[in-house]
Amino acid sequence: MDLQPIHPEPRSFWTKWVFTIDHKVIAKQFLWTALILLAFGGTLAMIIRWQWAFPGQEVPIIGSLVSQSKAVTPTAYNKIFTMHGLIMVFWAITPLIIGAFGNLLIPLMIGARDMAFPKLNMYSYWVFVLSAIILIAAFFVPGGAAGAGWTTYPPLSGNAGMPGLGQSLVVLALFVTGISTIMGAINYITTVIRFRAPGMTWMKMPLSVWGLWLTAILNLLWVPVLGSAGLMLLSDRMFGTKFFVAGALAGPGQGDPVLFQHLFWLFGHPEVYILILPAWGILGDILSFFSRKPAYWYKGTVYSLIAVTALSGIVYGHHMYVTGMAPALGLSFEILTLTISAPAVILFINWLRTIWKGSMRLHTPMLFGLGVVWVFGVGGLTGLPLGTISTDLYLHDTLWVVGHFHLTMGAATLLASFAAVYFWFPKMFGRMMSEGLGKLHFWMTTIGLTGAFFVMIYTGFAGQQRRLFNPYFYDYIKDLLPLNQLTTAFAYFLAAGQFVFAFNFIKSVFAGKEAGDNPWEVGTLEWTLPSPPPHYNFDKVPTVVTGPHEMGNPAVKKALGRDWLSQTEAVPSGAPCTAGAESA
Amino acid sequence: MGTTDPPPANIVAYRSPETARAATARLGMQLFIAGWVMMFAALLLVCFLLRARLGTWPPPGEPSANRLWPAVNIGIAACSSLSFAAAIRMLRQDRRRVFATFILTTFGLGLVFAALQAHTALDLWSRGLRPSTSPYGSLLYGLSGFHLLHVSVGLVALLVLFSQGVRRKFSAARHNTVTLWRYYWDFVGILWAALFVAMFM
Repeated sequence: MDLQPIHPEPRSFWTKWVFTIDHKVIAKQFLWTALILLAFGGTLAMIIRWQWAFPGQEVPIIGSLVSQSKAVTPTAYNKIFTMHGLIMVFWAITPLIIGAFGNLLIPLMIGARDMAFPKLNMYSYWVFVLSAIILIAAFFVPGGAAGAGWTTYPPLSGNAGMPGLGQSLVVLALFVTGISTIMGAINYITTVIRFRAPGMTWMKMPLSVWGLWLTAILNLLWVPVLGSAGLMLLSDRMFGTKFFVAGALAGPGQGDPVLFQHLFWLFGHPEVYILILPAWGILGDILSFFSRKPAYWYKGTVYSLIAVTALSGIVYGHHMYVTGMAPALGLSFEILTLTISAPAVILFINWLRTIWKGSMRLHTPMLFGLGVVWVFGVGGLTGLPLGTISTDLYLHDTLWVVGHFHLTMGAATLLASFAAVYFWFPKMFGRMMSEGLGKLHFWMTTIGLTGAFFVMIYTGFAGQQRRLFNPYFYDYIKDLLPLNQLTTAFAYFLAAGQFVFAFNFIKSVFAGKEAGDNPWEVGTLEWTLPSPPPHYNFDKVPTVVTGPHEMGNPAVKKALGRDWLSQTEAVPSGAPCTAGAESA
Repeated sequence: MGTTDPPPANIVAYRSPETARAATARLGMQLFIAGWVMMFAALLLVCFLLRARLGTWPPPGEPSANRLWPAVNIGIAACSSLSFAAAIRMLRQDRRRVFATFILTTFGLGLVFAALQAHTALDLWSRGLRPSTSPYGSLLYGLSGFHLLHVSVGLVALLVLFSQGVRRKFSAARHNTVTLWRYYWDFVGILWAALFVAMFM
């Protein structure tokens, strides 16, 4: 295929740490940026929770930043929940699991020296930073940031609904971060196709790489659709065009606001798989590594991931059942949506069969992995009534939806990101994170997430509408205040857990226990390198002979005295290949 | 896989053959274009749906566009793409001077294309159509303008290719940059045919 030469070693501070072309350093840049923005988006969520538990009361500690009266005002509320959603989806989870781990893992796991286009990779990061600056700048312009919800539906997001520069800046920031994502996607797809080490066949790739690669394909194809929608919305706002403007605002010629929803969800539904596919991939690897068993039915998992990728583009209509869609169209979308359950169940069963009777090692990454299985299982089940028209019509605008998508694309991807941070931290920084603090972080995070979103789903089932500034304005919601306060308690427990993580992370970067080359005793290619790896990764590109999960093979144990085999080592002669590691 | 050469002894200095690196770059460009196709596909979808909603096209009272020059522009785009193809063929035979001439021809045809597009837009403007009048105006100016922006990027690239060609930067063995821009130029040309059908038919 293609083989890169070893880059000259970066000498100066600027080429080494700032404008670097080394994918591992870019991964760290994405990681730090994403964690900071995650903390910011999380803080916004805590303010929303405060308002729903203690409406109208002064926000403690950061109240003076929220409004002059220190309480959440209606305008401030709109901006806070809009920016929470946008920051979490586009500026926290995306750069965390795709930006940081996509960059780190793809070249290392396939045996490449760097990305296919290292400079494009650098631009991708700095364009992302530019978008984040535009986004944050929106908070400081007169009128404040965007307030039309993360979906930015017109007419609310138009000039009449949301006047001022803030909304325009946020839409622009979305477009700019889209450019960064597309640059990354081109790099990821090309690298996996062209730079796999000799012997690294498609069916020997670690599942993490599969997930990240399929996500890159979805990003490449669907983010441009959001880009188009954003450009037209911006043009409606800045130049007075009439793409999405209708009714009395439009004058004689009528545009169509629902058109924006079609474009948004054409992108938006693939987006939820964009976030979850890497999480599924990473999960597939980690469950196998810590159960000391090959991933159950590896090929089935791969084909299911591909099936989900293919289906994700043709189910978006289930976000729009309540827009007055033609019944035949709605029914088609319902059938297609529920079809996605089939590959999802295959994945789920494969995870359970992977850990079944394994010699589990319950280290922190594995705990987080099991946490993903748990929250994704529950989150997935609560999605079925939303894919079905008859139940969706009742549930659509309630907190049920909020609880459901937070469990699947929020909690599941977040827990998978944490699993990845704990698992690959030794490779990135050469040090281990503290196990004790990690386990404490796991329990606080998982209990917090599960509790908050379970109660939220229940509150939604009881009829509380989403997005309301003060839900208790309505008599029928008044009685739900204690439930909302319970959700808030869980949310604050969750937030407290993140301080444990921040402390553990920063302390371990500087003073963690030295990690060896392969602290987890697993066989994928990155663990054949020193921790952290040299700037060129591989001085000699390895030849791959074995699958990624060759673990717990008794013949290997007998011949080598250990229960795992590196991807560069052949199974000892005479020993049978274990399931899933067959030489494809 | 499996066709990979055995790793050479001095792997530090080793570079993949030019053909392998060129194939990687071409794949990257093809993926970029695939993404951009989706971007314009969304714009075309908007165009078709809004047309269906409006019923008559142009809406009553709006000036109808002169279709002649936009139609001629499909031909001009095709000719410029053919000229680009001829340039690459010449380069493969190492006829570098003829190559530069063909690139300049491509650039000239591109300029004519841009001029005719501007003429069409100015004509509509003088007859009172504004982007804010109705979705009809928004689509005509918005889509043509966005396309023209992409043509302009291509024109700048062609100028750079021409100056590099004159300075003999390209040869039969080294022409991948030119090939990448040819993909882009063909994409922009074909795009105009699609936009023409969506907006002027």
